[in-house]
Amino acid sequence: MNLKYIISFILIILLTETALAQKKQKKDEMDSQALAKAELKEELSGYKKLCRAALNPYRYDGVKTTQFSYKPYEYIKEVEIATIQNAEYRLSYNTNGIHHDKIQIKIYDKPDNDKRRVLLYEQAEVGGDEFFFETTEMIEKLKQVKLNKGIDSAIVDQMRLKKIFIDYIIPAVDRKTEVNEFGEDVMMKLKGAVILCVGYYNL
Amino acid sequence: MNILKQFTHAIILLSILSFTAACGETIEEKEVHSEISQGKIAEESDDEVSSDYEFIPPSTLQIASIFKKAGLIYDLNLTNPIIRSDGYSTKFSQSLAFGVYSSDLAYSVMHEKYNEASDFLKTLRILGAKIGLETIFSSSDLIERFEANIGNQDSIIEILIFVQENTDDYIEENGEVDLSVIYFTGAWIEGMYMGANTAMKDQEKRIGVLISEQMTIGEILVKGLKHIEDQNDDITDLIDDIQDLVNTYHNLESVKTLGEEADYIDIVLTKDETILMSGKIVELRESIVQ
Repeated sequence: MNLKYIISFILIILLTETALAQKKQKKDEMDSQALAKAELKEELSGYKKLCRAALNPYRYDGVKTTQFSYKPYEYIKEVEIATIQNAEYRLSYNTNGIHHDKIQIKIYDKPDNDKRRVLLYEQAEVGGDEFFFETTEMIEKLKQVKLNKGIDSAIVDQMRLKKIFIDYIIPAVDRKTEVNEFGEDVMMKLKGAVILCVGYYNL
Repeated sequence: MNILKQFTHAIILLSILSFTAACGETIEEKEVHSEISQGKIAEESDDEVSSDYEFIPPSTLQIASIFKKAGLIYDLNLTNPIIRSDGYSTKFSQSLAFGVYSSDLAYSVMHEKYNEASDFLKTLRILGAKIGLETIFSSSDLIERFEANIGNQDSIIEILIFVQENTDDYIEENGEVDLSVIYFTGAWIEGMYMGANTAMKDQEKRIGVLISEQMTIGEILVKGLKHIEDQNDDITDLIDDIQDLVNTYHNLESVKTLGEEADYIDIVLTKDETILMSGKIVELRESIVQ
């Protein structure tokens, strides 16, 4: 009878030890995750400063950091911007947060569920870079498309962009399994971030 | 012998309890693995991925600036009295009020009313602390810098842009996008309220055009509010009110006549249309500041 209790006791102690070891392992992983997040935050914060500085002489209006994960299929993340009055806007990009496959940027006058939308700007192979451009050429492009569609030139002359829809086209990337430091298989999701700062011409 | 048996039982019970506790905590912490090396980030979780709908609204400073350029005059009675700020007791009403006072601050600065602006900035600091934005106002002797620069509009505007940049960064880095949608809605309604009052009194045509332009932002805000995770009654009521305003605008004759091209043209509303829209804006603003 006593031997049965002693064996049970030893077994439970062993199982407890294993569970505690696993707990410690997960805690270490959580610590490394917190560290990774802090490092990412600091990295993006630095890029954001550079991105804002590139707005000069335009006045700062807003910022959007779009964080994404690569999936096994291509997909779009969309950012909508209201452009008020006839102000010229500068869109300043910092794409140094993209460390894997490069993405595409396409800008339209309407959202991605509207088949009538007009492509106003596009740039392929975006990643690991800093650049900016203004909205003036987009308005000219929109007017040209409207004229080609036969819309009265008196109406076209009054046109401006009230909103723009920026599509980030994230390419398909196969997910891989890697072995972590504890010898476990982990499904890896690669991530990236695009920083967009918007400024308007104030004069 | 009996004592030994009881002692053994106690040990086994304790062991079972500690084993259960150890296992339980392990399960809770099981979710995420990550790795970062030379800027390469790979994670199992999606918690650092942006929301499906993202937008960048115009700044309160820009809205105040365009209304001023269109001929809006300063009237302190149009701003939300500071004394009301203590009465906002829920996070929702405090967040909306944070936006309202941000707009009052920008309005006062654009019209060079610096003493009033300073009071609004102090109110924002108090409200900011209530909604978790205290960090923004705690840095760099903000209020002191503001007061030291009274009279120098360029420097004051620089300080406001600094506050806005800090707010934007804090919101992004701390996952407070839902909060920002609510306070921007408050700021937007307050900005339009200033214009609507002037439009109703003076029939100022240019301000009527600006009100019609603001409906574009109204549409964006409705989408932003609909993407807020916690869709409580306050949020749904606010969505309904803004949607009603936007629908009223789209049903105006001046807008319907232009058809699809209305999306690209600054529309001059008729006197009756301006009064109708302004009345709805005033009503909406009164409902959020009470």
